Amino acid sequence: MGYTPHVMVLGGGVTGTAIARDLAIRGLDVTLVERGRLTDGATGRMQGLLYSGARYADTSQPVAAKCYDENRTLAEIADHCVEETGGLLVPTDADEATVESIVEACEDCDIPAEALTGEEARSMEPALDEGVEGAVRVPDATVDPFRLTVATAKSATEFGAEIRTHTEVTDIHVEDGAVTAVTVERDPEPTGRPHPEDSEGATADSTSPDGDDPDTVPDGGKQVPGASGGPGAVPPGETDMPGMPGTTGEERPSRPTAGTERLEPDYVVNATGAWADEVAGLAGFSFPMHRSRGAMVITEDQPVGMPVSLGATPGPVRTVVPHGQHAVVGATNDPVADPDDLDGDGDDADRLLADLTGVVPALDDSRLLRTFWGVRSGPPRGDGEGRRFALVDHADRDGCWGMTTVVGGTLTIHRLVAERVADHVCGTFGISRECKTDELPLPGSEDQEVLDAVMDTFGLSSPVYDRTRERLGSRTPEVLDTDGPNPVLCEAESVTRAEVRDALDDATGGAVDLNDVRIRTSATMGACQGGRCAHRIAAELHPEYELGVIEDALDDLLAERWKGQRHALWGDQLAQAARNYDFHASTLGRKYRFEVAEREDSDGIALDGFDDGPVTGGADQPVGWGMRR
Amino acid sequence: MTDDVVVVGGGIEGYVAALTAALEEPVADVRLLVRDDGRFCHEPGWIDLLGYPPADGDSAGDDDAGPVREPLQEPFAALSDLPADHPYSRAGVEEVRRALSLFEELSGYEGLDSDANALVATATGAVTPTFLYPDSVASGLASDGRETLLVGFERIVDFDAALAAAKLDEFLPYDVGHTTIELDVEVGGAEPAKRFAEVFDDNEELDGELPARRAVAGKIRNELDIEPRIGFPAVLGRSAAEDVRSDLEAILQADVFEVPLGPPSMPGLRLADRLRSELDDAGVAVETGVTVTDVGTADDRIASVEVAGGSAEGDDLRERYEGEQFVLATGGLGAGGLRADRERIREPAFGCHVTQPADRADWVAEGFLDDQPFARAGLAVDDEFRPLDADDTPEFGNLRATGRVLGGADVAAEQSTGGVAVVTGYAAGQLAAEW
Ligand SMILES: Cc1cc2nc3c(=O)[nH]c(=O)nc-3n(C[C@H](O)[C@H](O)[C@H](O)COP(=O)(O)OP(=O)(O)OC[C@H]3O[C@@H](n4cnc5c(N)ncnc54)[C@H](O)[C@@H]3O)c2cc1C
Ligand SMILES: Cc1cc2nc3c(=O)[nH]c(=O)nc-3n(C[C@H](O)[C@H](O)[C@H](O)COP(=O)(O)OP(=O)(O)OC[C@H]3O[C@@H](n4cnc5c(N)ncnc54)[C@H](O)[C@@H]3O)c2cc1C
Repeated sequence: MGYTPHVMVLGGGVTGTAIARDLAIRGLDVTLVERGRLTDGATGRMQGLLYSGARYADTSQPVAAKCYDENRTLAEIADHCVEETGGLLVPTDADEATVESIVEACEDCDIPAEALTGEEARSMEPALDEGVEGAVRVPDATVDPFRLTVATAKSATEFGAEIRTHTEVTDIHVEDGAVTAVTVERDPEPTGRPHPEDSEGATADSTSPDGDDPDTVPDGGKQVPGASGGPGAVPPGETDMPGMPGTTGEERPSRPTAGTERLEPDYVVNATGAWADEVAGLAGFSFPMHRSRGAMVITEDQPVGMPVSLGATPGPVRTVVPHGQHAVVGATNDPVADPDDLDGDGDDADRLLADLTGVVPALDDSRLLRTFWGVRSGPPRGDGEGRRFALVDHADRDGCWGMTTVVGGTLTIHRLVAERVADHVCGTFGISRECKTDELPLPGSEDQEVLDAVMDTFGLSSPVYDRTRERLGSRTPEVLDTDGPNPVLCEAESVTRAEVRDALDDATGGAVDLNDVRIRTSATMGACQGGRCAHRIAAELHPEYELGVIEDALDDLLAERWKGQRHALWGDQLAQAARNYDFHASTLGRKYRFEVAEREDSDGIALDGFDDGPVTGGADQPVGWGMRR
Repeated sequence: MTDDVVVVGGGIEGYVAALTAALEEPVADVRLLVRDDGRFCHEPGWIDLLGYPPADGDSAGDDDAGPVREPLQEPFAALSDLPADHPYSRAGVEEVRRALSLFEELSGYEGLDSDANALVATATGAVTPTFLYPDSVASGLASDGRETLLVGFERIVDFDAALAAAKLDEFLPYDVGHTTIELDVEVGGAEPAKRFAEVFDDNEELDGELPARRAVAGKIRNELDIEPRIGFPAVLGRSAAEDVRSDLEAILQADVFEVPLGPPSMPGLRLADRLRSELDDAGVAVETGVTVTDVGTADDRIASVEVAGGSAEGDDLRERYEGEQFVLATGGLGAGGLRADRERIREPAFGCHVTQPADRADWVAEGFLDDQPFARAGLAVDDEFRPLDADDTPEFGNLRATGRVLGGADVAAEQSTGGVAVVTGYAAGQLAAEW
């Protein structure tokens, strides 16, 4: 067996995981590190629209054509993460483009598009305003970014890649004009780590996967999972837990422990999205980047049946994207310098709705669950849409061998971006192996439960997918079949006590973060946004944790939920917030707290002076405890 | 037919206003328009008077652990310090007393014997000051220094007995113990609290063996040590709650009390049932399932209200009620008596002027449990509880506003929600009957 380069991929967004997958399929050794969870960056903070490319057809033909190609490819290889809803583009008065010109431009790029009269458009999407005079039907689709990324990560691990979450790159070492090592810091909080029992015997177990193996990769590349042989190929068994560090069977540590570690890969790919310049800065490189913040709001209802986008000329996109029973409305576009600058303005929601309610009037009555923000990034240049991408090989740019940074792109074209990166890396090592990611389906499309299990492994749950299915029906039996009663703690999202405990079990040790339980289970993400259920989830921390810790964890969770709500509070959601406030302040008495500390010398608070109730005792009193013995 | 008094809104203040008017003026025709029992689902069942000195309205966002405050021991003494636009100040201290004693009589509640606040334990193991309380809470007062055993039911998730007991035990000067038991109640798609209450009301057999009350007692008897009182989540029946408690007390040989939970709150619903039967006795006509959709006015007075709603018979009911005097008792933001769009908080039934921060960004405080400006938004009234327009003139000569729709106080923060409802309902009911 020849020399196999070890490539380190930085960043666990959709781009990084796709690069890891592509390289692993081509037979390279891959380690991906992500400082938080998978999807913590832009990938978990976007609109979930799988662009058809039609919006760019008149201004940027090659981009549009690529976009449509990728849209089709993802619908093929990730059909379980994509819903082919079709979509409508509604030109506005401000647009130069018209229905006709868009359709014409689409034809030039081979994007199937159809001109619709207002009436035809309304029969397809009854939510459209009476005033809409025409629209273009385009092959937009919706995509679940959480499941897409996790499915990609699973595939990567099946081909031998190692994925380490909660592992942050803190230094990149350069010596004699080459990148030599990367220092990572492992978060002491092991959340997101696989269950201990899963790590045992993972490599020993070689149950073969279910029948229909895809073709093997030619040219000495790794073979697909389950096919025997192949250097580093991992036979994933039923009990194998992908994503497990160490499943490659090579000499890497079987589980990263807390603390700092120095890795010496042969090559580094920096795919840290909006943080790419920051991370490259660790090696002393610098390059300009464009960043803009996008605000999105989540509606409790689903005002539209298919994505409806406003405006055709590039500029801020305004789209209503249906997801599960909800919709994500977005997005604004405000330049920001700092990738962590996520706190937008109070009028973000108003700006979104102001433009959209003219076309989808029902949005005016929609209950807004919350606002959230994401940061787009890309190479600097005018339009700021971030849909262009660029590879920066630091050998060319900075005269330093061993690292390439990728910036920009969209989720829609992420696979193509990854292909280009992998081509480039392979080229650097003189490896000529074909890209296979456009034909090998992602795991889980046959059997959703496979993906559920991996979502659990990575400590994620998808707010999109979880409510489009009989959620409890497809949970793993271990989570549901408990001996005792397993009541629902979060009604809106049907999250049971066992699921919460399960999520907590994975987080033993370090700091308690109920937000983590939320992300794992989707609890508190429904209409009440935690007001009615957060205290129940916090109660599950008892008795393992101290009382003060439990109270703080509850406060933190409620604070996180409040952060996303308070900017768009009116209508039903303000009514809900008012009830939540009453419940916590009055019924639970959580607004003011007794000063207990000062009374440490005494045996507790002084009760003298308060009403001690109607006189009981005497004849009224039950016979008394003495009789019970 | 023209009613003498039409009360719009089915919360505590509406019930009290209608009852007061009917009792004050037995010959008067009083009508109460109620949308549903939703508002009582949110009532903990106790009636606060004034638990804390009123917040100054400044958002104290500096400490996210919540400010430390001493609860008031003597709420009456603090009433005179309230600002002039506080609902209690409008009514006057004497009226507050009269209102509470009428309510005590109507509801069968306790607490007026002592002028002091009582402390009650909450479902999350805090204590909160309150003033009047039902029998089902009386023996459980945290300010009564007897040792306590808390019992949880696995399926009633709002109340974790072990956690609540641990917290209470930490700062109360007596021991609080706990046990949690599993009752095999088939909940199905029902709301667990309602289903449990039904099981206790009917004393259903569990596991096909023991009747529910006996089954519960059997499961905790061994856990009981020396505690003279036992607290349960507030699901011990609705219609037969008194029997449920006295049966449990007889078997367990200890006082039994309840800890109120979130909606659907059984103590709240029991209060609704109780007041409802008082309304029937007093001859008040109650229309349920109706929402005011329009009002007819003449000469700055309300002449009639039009309602729509799903009555028991059909859902396209439309009716117009004419009246001499009207009482607005539709509640605050949480109940729908106030309703916000993106620009303004409005009062949808009569379109009264709502005092509020001009800018939506200022409705909401930065922290969830900071003093919330939206909680203070509401109608400004004159001394006769007539809502005032932007120029401080009464909107209508014959409309009075009560309860949570009123502005000027964050009743949730100062723990005066129930008291303000009772007192303003009483005052408005009297004024309406006088005319
Ligand atoms: C508001 C908004 C709406 C959008 N809507 C759409 C849409 O509808 N359709 C579409 O196709 N695209 C959309 N996009 C674009 C799409 O979200 C992004 O192109 C895509 O998610 C980028 O993925 P990524 O992996 O490159 O970056 P990211 O997802 O940001 O991943 C980068 C990762 O690097 C990690 N990281 C950072 N620093 C370090 C470090 N030091 N060590 C380790 N890890 C580190 C981060 O935690 C992060 O997880 C939208 C974007 C935004 C902001
Ligand atoms: C398609 C789609 C559908 C959705 N549907 C729903 C829904 O129905 N209900 C709902 O409530 N939400 C929904 N969301 C929103 C989603 O749950 C999150 O709110 C969103 O992804 C952003 O996270 P957040 O607002 O919780 O932010 P945060 O809480 O800020 O982020 C989440 C996690 O990332 C970490 N983090 C954030 N920023 C950084 C940083 N700079 N560095 C390191 N770590 C960081 C935080 O510590 C936290 O643990 C949806 C999102 C999408 C994309």
